[in-house]
Amino acid sequence: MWKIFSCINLCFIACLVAAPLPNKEYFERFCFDCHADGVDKGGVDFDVLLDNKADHKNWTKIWEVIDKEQMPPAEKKKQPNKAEREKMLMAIEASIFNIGRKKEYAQPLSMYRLSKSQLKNSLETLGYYGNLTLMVPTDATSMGFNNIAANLSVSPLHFESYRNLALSISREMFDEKSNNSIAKKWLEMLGSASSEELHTVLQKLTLKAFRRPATVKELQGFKTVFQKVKKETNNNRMAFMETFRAVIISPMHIFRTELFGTKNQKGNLLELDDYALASRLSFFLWNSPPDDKLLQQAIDGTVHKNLDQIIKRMIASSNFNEFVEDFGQQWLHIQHLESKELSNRRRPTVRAFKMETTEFIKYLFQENRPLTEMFTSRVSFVNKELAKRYKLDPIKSKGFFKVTFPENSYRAGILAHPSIHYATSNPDHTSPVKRGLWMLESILGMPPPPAPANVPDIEEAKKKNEERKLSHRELLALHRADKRCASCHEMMDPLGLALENFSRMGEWRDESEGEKIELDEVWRGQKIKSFNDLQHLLTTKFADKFTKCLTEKLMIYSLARALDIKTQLSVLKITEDLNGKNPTFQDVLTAVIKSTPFQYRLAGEHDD
Amino acid sequence: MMIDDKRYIIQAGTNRRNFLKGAGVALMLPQFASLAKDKKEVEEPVRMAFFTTPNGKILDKWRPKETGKDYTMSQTLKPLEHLRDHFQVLTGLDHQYAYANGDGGGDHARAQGTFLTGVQVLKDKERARAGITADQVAAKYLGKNTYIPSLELSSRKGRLSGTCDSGYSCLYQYNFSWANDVMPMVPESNSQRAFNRLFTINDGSNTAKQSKYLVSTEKSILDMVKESTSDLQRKLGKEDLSKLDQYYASLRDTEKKLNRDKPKVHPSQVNRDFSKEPETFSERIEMLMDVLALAFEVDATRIATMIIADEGNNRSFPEIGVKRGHHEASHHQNNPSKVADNEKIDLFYVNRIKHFLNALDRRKVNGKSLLEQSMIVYGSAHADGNKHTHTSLPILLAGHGGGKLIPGYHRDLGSKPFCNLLVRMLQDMGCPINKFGDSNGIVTEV
Repeated sequence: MWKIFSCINLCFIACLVAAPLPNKEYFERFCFDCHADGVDKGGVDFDVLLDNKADHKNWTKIWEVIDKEQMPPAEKKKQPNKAEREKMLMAIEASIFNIGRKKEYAQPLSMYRLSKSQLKNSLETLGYYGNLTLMVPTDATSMGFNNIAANLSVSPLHFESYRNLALSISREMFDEKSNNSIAKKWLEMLGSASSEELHTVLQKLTLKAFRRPATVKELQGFKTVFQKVKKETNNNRMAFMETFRAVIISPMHIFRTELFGTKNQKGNLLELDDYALASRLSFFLWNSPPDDKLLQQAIDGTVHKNLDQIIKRMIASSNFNEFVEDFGQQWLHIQHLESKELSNRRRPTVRAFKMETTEFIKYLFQENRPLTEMFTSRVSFVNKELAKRYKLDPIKSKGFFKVTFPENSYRAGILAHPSIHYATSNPDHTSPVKRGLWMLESILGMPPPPAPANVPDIEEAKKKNEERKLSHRELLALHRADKRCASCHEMMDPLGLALENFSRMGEWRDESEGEKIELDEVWRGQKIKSFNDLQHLLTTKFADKFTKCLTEKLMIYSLARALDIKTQLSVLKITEDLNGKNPTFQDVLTAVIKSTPFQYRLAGEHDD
Repeated sequence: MMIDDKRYIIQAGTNRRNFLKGAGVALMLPQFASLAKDKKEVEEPVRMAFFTTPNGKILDKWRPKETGKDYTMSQTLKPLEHLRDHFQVLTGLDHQYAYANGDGGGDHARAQGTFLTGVQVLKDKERARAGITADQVAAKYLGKNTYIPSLELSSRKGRLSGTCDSGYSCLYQYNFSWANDVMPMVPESNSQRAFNRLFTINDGSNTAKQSKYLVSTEKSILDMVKESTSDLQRKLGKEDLSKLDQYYASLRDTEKKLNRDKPKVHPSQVNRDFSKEPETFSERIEMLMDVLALAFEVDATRIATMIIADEGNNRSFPEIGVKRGHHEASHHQNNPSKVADNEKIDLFYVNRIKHFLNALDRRKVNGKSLLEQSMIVYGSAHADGNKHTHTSLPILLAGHGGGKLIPGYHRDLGSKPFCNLLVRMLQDMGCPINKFGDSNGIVTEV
């Protein structure tokens, strides 16, 4: 018996090493021309990788370029169809990563420093409504978002600014002459500072600040601060002011963690407890800590139970503005649009561009519109100035108003928004390349691989053809003809050129630099002869790509981290479920919230 | 892909005592260290600052034709003619780790990431891994002598939208100075805030001292905060723990500062209204530089870094009539109009460093000009922005380093790691260092 066992065992080990990649013939057909048999373009060589399945870094890269359709390069005739791509992906999943589509995965425990805007919103729930712009350093972005945990470092400048902030906030709120109504409520609750009163007020304050009940030890610490200052000053107000300061600056406030789970476990996955889930929800949909109502639901243990109702309420809330301003603007690369504008005179216009798009995104989510309306909706939001620019009936009041463009107007959907045209232009002219890149990154979810080092520029192509003047389009075509450039520019240029009818400031034009704009593009086998063709493709043939792109962006933003392959499987699952069902914006949002990576985390050895 | 990692990786979240463990920093023999220390006691301390500008230079306009003392000032450096005895132009210093070395595109992020670290920074869309920068090595040895160990400045007030350079974390372009491989020293971009952070105005009236009450309260708050996170520490992974460590390291710094008085400046030393919002880009840069000059003058810090503009920056320059974005123009492919724009921009930035060097030249400490007491590097790890080259970098080394440097020359050093210069500067500052980043020796010629 023992002998058979060890024999099987031996074979098992041997088989594992030599196990061929399932569906290898697809890789042979679509990849080996450039990546095997002595050719190793981009440093990728299947001859080496097939013997080195432990090289997860490179295999992840391969999985991603197949999934995002970056490979095979667009200019190659031989392209796998959807089913073939799936087979290649699943072969890598099973054979390299030992994971599967039917299993579920989640991420390990993480610690998130509040981003600058989250900190501002947290302080508002505690009663401070000041402007933090100048008081706290700006956060870096990664993958387009500024809430990514790995990027939210704590340098000395941060700590100093938190300290100064806490000092000035506590003084401003609890000064004798202060009219801050929330501060007054805290002080009323404190009353005469009996030990019971002190306990209650600190419990409430820390619940709001830490988004979970404070531990006995934590509460004791704050009581000690209170008593110490009270002893020195004999003044309850001042003692509370300093305790408030301590709460603001404590790591439990500055960092968000998800320490505890429910009893509901899936294998090694821990379902987040109600407090942690409430925080995930509110930082996702409001970029803020939970409000009183949501906290109460966490206390009552009803967050998981009432999830659908909660999501509805949160989307309908005015706090949802925070989502569109934070997620929406970053997703579309327009958050800092006005800082690109150097002319003071034009800056309000650029700001209005940004607001138009922001209001539009809010409308799509709050009114639960189908995803296709992203590209077709005649609805938009304009202020006085935009109404004039768009030649609509004049608007007299301040603010943005919902308008509906007529059927024959070219203004339909996001691709007609000047914010996008402006964001994707150079300081003095439009850039089809940047526009194409934006389409791939923000709409289609298939960013091209980074440009190789030292690619020849368009100007080099120009020099070779000095005998006649070339239009920008012809130059791009030449550039694409260069093999080194083709794989990316075949992807970017047609999409960007399809937006050439829009000037840098979003005005329709039929000519550019004195030349008539004529569209005759092909993108992944589809002809694009007009702006309308592009809009149409995005709601038909390429609609699923947008669904996947949005799902992925929402997943990155809500988890505040890069998606590993396991989490990307959840994105694929959500997209599969929604495809063909004319999904709405809330469908996607809800699917992300209900996914395992959002609801669970990986259990660690210290989780009981 | 990365070559011999061990040489330059610093452990995440190291505490101060161990910060050099495993670093790309090698200690000198003890006797050298103590020699340096003895010497330092009697002299006016030397200040050190690093400035960086983006996208390379038009090198044939930057580099003087002749080497030696009597070189003719180049077109781009003309504005500095009157200071020629106070700086040297260095040719022949390289940064090999700014090249791809298998990592593909992203020369801008890489160049800024490697300039003061001398390491090949990690290419990853989410995470950044750099290394300790030379200024922070100095800050760890000498920072205890001043109100803040080091000052970090940047002219960029907003942030970049969308993604950053070719698959690199944005942290490399936002930051210039790193305390260790994971902790960037986030720069200050607002001159008023920088001013308030460093100084109190002493106009002769009785300035209120930090009240005893405030200090004692602060201490008990910080004590409380320190004791409150044991549960968290038990469950967190290594990376998150390092973040918590960063928080506590900053907290300890703050505690130390509570025991010192903020440097006082007399109103006559303040040459402008820092609360005013700068109207132009040049004004924004110069206001920050003025804060730094003042910080050096009153010895609020001796070590500084400043991002005059970040690598890959694509701003246009209405002040000098350049409509093209800088990055776009830097890929000029010898197009004369783009080259001309670059020349104007290179000149624009040289005029800014002129402002700073003039400010140091004017200010006196103990009878010497601040410029004599300083070592200022102006440059970047990008030579030719068009072709993305990183050898024979355009570097200015200004100041006399308290007599340790011999300015007034254009020196061609052949082909040496830029880090060899960093080792030299650190030694001149009194740090017992004989290896840093990819250094393979020390620049003795300067």
